[in-house]
Amino acid sequence: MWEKSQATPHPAARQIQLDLHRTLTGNQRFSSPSSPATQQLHRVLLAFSWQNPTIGYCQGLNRLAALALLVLQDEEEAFWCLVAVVESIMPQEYYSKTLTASQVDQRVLKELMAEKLPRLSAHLEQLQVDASHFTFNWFLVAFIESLPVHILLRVWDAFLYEGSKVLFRYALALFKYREEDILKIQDKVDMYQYLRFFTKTITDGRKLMSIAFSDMNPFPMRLLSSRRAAHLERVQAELSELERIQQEYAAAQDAERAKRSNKDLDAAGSEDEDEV
Amino acid sequence: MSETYDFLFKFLVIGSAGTGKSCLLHQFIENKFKQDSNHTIGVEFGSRVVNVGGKTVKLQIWDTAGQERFRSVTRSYYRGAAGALLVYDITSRETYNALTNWLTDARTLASPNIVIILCGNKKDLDADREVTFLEASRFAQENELMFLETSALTGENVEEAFLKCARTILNKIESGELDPERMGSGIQYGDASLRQLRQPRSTTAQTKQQCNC
Repeated sequence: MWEKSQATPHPAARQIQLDLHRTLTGNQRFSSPSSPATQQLHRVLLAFSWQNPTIGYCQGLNRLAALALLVLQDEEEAFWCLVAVVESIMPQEYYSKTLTASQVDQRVLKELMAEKLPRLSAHLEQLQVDASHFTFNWFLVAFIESLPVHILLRVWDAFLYEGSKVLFRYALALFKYREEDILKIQDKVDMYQYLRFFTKTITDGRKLMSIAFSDMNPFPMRLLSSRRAAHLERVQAELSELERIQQEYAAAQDAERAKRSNKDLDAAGSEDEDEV
Repeated sequence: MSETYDFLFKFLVIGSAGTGKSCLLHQFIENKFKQDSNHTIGVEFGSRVVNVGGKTVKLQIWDTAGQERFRSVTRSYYRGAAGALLVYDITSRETYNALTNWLTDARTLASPNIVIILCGNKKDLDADREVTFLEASRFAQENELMFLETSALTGENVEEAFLKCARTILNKIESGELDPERMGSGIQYGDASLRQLRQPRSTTAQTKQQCNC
């Protein structure tokens, strides 16, 4: 696959190249574009784009692959780990061209927050802060770069073993862990500033885990599946509606432009023609 | 922790991947170039209080992911944006060609009165230039955008881009063209102006003069 990718560049190759030196920049092994780890990352991502042409490359896959490389060391194993996460553990369409399943999960999370953390959810609502602006990142890369490493690896153990439901458990647990702090914030901009970094300051991994796996119960898989199915329909409907609006706008713009250029031609004939 | 300000504007930074959106934001907020930055997933935030024409304005800036497929997600961020920096890379024609798509998103999804400034970033890489100043300024004119070439590396025109956009919005408020009270305008009164609003007009004028000195 590597040889094939050398012969014909994949359409995703440019974006992969662009992101290589923008991956886990805090980590020594990825700090230089010429470092062996960066080269390995390059090959894993290119190979993946051939393995799964529908997805090709989605920003975020670089972080998943980089973590796999750091832990597994071996390039081929890291590749298969990436394949497993994207194709088996995460729902379909998570990294697709429209990120449909990612968007679905954010709606599901919002609902679960309202049920399991009603005070916090109402508070965010009141400040008109949409938590999905932050949680979207958490889910897409399973908390990489959002949590301190020692906690991240614990989360990943459960994530690899139990699947994507774990992401919901930990997302809810993170909010629960800092619920009192969040409730104190009364300014919208301050809230945005707080939510973008607070996960990095969590230190007690044991406490977080206990919230995720006992306080958040009951959490049957059936519930998650049915919520996902319901929201999937809605998101798909909205996406096609948006598509339609944008096409109409683009068509109107084209018509406008054509009209204008005709007018320019007319104006060339009679300079001071009145506007209608 | 919250400072006093007259207005709060919501700003967006949009454009294709790798054009330097996050670096522009970082340069504006921290006054330095961001080495080793990660690419943005979804959205990032920054805010800064600036002084424009005697008014203090807090800019809340939403920095978005540039990869094409994130557009379906970032679209939900447009609502209620008062201003936007539309960024392309002067050394990449591809990012320039994508401007029409970004513009369509902004015009259809943000407030119809959104004030947009086009930024040709990486001005410092003039040797690798693929898009001339002239053609970009023509594009800006045709689409009623303001236009600057910027460098997030050296900081050239970065401050100006944000301030120019803020100033235009402020002018539109003062001329009555923009109504901050309207839902989705992307503009909110800060504490300072709310206090002024509660005072009788004569006192307001006085306060204003005091502020200017």
